[in-house]
Amino acid sequence: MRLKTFLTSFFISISIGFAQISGEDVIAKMMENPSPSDIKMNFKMTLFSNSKEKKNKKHFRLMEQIEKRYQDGEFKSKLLLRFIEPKEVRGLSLLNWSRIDQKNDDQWLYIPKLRKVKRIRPSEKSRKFQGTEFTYADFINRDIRLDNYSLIGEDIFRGNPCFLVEARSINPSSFEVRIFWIDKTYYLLRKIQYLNEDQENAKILEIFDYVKNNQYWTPTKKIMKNLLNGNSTELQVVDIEYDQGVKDEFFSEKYLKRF
Amino acid sequence: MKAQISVSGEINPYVMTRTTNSSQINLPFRLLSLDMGYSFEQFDLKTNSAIEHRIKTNKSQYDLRELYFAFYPEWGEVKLGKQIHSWGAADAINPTNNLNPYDYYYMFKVGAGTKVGVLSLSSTYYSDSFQIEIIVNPYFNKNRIPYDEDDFPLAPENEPEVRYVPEDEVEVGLRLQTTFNSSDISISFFSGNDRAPSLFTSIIPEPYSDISMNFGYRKTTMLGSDFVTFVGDFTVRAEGAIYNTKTPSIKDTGLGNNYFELREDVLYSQYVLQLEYTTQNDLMLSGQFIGNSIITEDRKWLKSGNEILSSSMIIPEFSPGMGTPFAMFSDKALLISSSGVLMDDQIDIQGSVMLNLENSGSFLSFGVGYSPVLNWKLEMATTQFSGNGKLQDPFTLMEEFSHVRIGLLYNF
Repeated sequence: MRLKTFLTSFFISISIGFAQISGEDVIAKMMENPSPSDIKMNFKMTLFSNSKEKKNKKHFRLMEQIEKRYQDGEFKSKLLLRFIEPKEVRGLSLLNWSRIDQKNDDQWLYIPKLRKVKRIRPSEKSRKFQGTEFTYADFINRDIRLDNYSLIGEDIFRGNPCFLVEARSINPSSFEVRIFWIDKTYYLLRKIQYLNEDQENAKILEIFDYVKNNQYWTPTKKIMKNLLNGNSTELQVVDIEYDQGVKDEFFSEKYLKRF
Repeated sequence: MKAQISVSGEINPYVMTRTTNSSQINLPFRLLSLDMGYSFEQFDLKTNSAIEHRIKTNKSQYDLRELYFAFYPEWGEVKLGKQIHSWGAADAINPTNNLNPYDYYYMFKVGAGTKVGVLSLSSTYYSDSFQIEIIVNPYFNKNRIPYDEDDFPLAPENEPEVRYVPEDEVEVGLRLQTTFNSSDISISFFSGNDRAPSLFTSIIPEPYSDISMNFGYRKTTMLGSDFVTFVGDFTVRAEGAIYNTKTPSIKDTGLGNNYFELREDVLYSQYVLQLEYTTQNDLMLSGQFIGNSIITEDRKWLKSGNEILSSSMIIPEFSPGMGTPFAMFSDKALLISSSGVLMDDQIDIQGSVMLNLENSGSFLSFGVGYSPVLNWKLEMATTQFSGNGKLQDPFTLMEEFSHVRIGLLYNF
């Protein structure tokens, strides 16, 4: 009887605890994880094709990413992406400035053969990045204020108990609904399920192998699977450095041409 | 920053076969292109060279296209040496980009590939709201024109005898660029000499005897502007320039008192308006309206330095000595281009159509590249010209140049 009372009270208190945490709370906890002020990273993107003609054929891109995040001011972040491989596009570089309001990003493209920096129309965030299953939005951190969050359940992903948080875009976008798997222990993002306008499961992003460098958790491997065509892209971090004191001037036309 | 050495390049053998009679077009091409650089702290040393090869004669020639030293202080950059500059917001057709002469052997290439490197000093100052660039070329440089090339129909048969080299060789360029509401706008200025020779003096020694003609390079100053902006899903790029070309005064023609001098003072313009759109599948579509026109002209023959009151001497048609080479094709043309990739970037396709809006005439270009293995590519392309039957029409002349090109590209 006492055991029964104890167990009942225990599960009620768990339920109350569960009922008290919201989707916003989980996201807030996730955002509390320390974030570096700048990142220098080399990564490899491997494209897997699942078409009949080239079943499981793959080819890859090797890229360099340098990003600086701002705590205040006009900009949210500045990002430089540069191709290292394939050699045909070596040196092709994209510079992106993200502003706080996410409305007026600035983008430039440097094409070595043209010797010219071209201002380009900021790519739609939902557009595929260079033929991969990742989008530009996946490289440019989305402002959390652009979505509404609600806790919709729990699940286990690769042995990690996770909260399931549904994110709905306040403004219409290609992916109106995303479902986040956020682990309960470290509040790290483990998986994202993307639903398209027709509420179909369109893509899944799975994040593997988190490694802690100093105080920062680094996902060293991500796989984006397109559920509609069977293709997938694997992003693997080759090396990464944090807080190198990257100067603001690095994210400029001058340095875009130099490297 | 650690010292870094970079080496990259491409090996690109190809053959061009005439579509009219399957004969081979024997023009030189860049068999090997090599970029090397050394970077340390704020300094760079960059080189760009090529091996130019001609299949018929099996001869190769080394071309040091660029060799320059660059310094990157906090405020900007300074470059000294043989280099290729690139101005203008539009793609491929750049009326404001006159710092370097054109290499007409490669006029259908893109970007720096069409240009001849020149010794120059350039400096750019970057601020938050603008950038300003100044370029000084201390020596005169001319276009590389394929004279006497049977396989290049537009080329003159003989290189004209240039009697009058520019006395003032120094050329200066200035460009100011600023941003307004996510749009870039620039104004530019250039003062230099024509890149192609024009007729300066003529001697008619005796009736019915050969006319002797002497050529030189006129002075031209350019005032230009370009901008890029975004309207909805479209990117709009525009570029235009006004040129003032004048025959310089000749102190001593060396021709005594019995010569005719063609004195020219011409104001002309070139412009391009480009509309660009990228589809959801990353297919890039671009349309360019290209135009050039003479605004005012004062062209006359002088006899021994004095104006001829009446003359039956024919004044040759004005030929611009600066600006985009495509101006020679038409005064008004439409160029539509498209490029995209398929099969996860293994296949790339490009196509262009140029339509002469003033007379009938066009060219069509289509190319496919297939990359079965990383860094290797098989290339196939065709360019077809169609003229209006008139002998001096550039499109008609270029019909003989219609060809298929097959090549191999290796990047390293």
